[in-house]
Amino acid sequence: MERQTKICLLLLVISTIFILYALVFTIPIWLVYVISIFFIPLWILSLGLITMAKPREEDKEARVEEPFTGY
Amino acid sequence: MYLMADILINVIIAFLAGSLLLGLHRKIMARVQLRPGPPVIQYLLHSLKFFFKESSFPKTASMPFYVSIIFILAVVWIVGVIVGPVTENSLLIIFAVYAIYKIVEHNAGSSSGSPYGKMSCVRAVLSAATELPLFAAIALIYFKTGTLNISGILMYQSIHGPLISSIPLAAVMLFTLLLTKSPYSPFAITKGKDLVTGFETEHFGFLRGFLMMSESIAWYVMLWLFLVLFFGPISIIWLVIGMVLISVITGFINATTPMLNPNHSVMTQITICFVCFVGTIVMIFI
Amino acid sequence: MIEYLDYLIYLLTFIVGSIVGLLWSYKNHSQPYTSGGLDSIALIFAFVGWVFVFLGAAFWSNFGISFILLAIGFFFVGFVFNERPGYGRKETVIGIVAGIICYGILKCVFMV
Repeated sequence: MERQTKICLLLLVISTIFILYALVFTIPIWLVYVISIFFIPLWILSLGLITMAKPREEDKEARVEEPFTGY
Repeated sequence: MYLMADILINVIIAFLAGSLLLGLHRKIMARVQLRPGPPVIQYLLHSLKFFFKESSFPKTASMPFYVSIIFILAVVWIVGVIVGPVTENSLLIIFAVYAIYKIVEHNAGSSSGSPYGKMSCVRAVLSAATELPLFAAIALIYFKTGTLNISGILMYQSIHGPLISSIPLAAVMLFTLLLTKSPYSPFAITKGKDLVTGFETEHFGFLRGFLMMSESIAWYVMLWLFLVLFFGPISIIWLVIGMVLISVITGFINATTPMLNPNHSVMTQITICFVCFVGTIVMIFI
Repeated sequence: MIEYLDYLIYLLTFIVGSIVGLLWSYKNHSQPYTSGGLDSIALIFAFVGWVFVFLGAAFWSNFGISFILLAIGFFFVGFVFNERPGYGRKETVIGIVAGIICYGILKCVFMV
């Protein structure tokens, strides 16, 4: 599995654990805020990085090098 | 644990309801322009669709800033949901949320390296003029109610009646702010079509979906704030009706007005702010 | 928290109904909308949906009944409301009128 996918999967699992922890256990309010503010967007970001389609190998270079014209 | 559940539920409601309202806004705009328009659910479907699209990261992008700025936008509006609908906390934090939103617009444009993004970044600085009406509205609410806490303002209104009747011009200022943030607005200089889509142009694929998600949360929070600050503690049905009405009204305005040039946009907002601020002061003290 | 949970469920049933309605509409209506009569299935769904929504509002004090009526109602409302652009408009309006009439009858006759 690609390195990026592995890291994103790890981040997704960590975010899920923290969110579930805050949901299940009674923890200080400030900790709930920290978990919700940081880990909800991180959950969405890591999910997005996993679900996003990857370009074909032959197109990859073109996408990155010259993504827009008219410059 | 109830607080976390409350936050999660409110964030999901904000995302779903915000998406539907933005879809309705787009539908109204289309109907005014004698087009059928896309289904109301289209905005939500697009937000979700982009999560599965190819996302390339341009060579000119400043990584990891290019990705993290979208993350920061989501963080900021989740703070908005927590401070607003969940805890009904301080308006100053909402002001800070809005200020950081401006910074995100600026930096999202500059982080991609695209000329369209860079132009949008410059215009985002100009469009900080929209913070004047927000600041003025907050100041006037404070003069009137003596508090900057949303729950305190609600309590004031349950005793003295809705603020829309006592400081209507402050409501006009906050409405101007809502209008600025609505799609295809005359004041939406950062996302003008002359810049393709401004600061969003070079954020592709899932980053665009993530951005759309945050913007739908933003739209919901700002509508909630407007209704709660000026109409008081209203029931959920009136909240829904109010949000739909405002989306429809902004849809009509945006469908029938051209986008102003950046300087005109700034001057118009400053003029509205000045007139409404002076008018409200006169109404309060005379 | 529980108060917001049922609003979330209504939103979700509306969205699910919308997606199902959109898919069904594109399958059944291959042409863009030009002009035409009423679609019988959409009309029935709009009628059922809006009547259920208004009845759910009428029975607001009884959470159980209200919740079921609103959840099912929003599904059918979303189904018709979010059909292929142009379709489902007339059916939605008829459904709303029917819902208001049923609500009025319930309020006046049964003093609910």
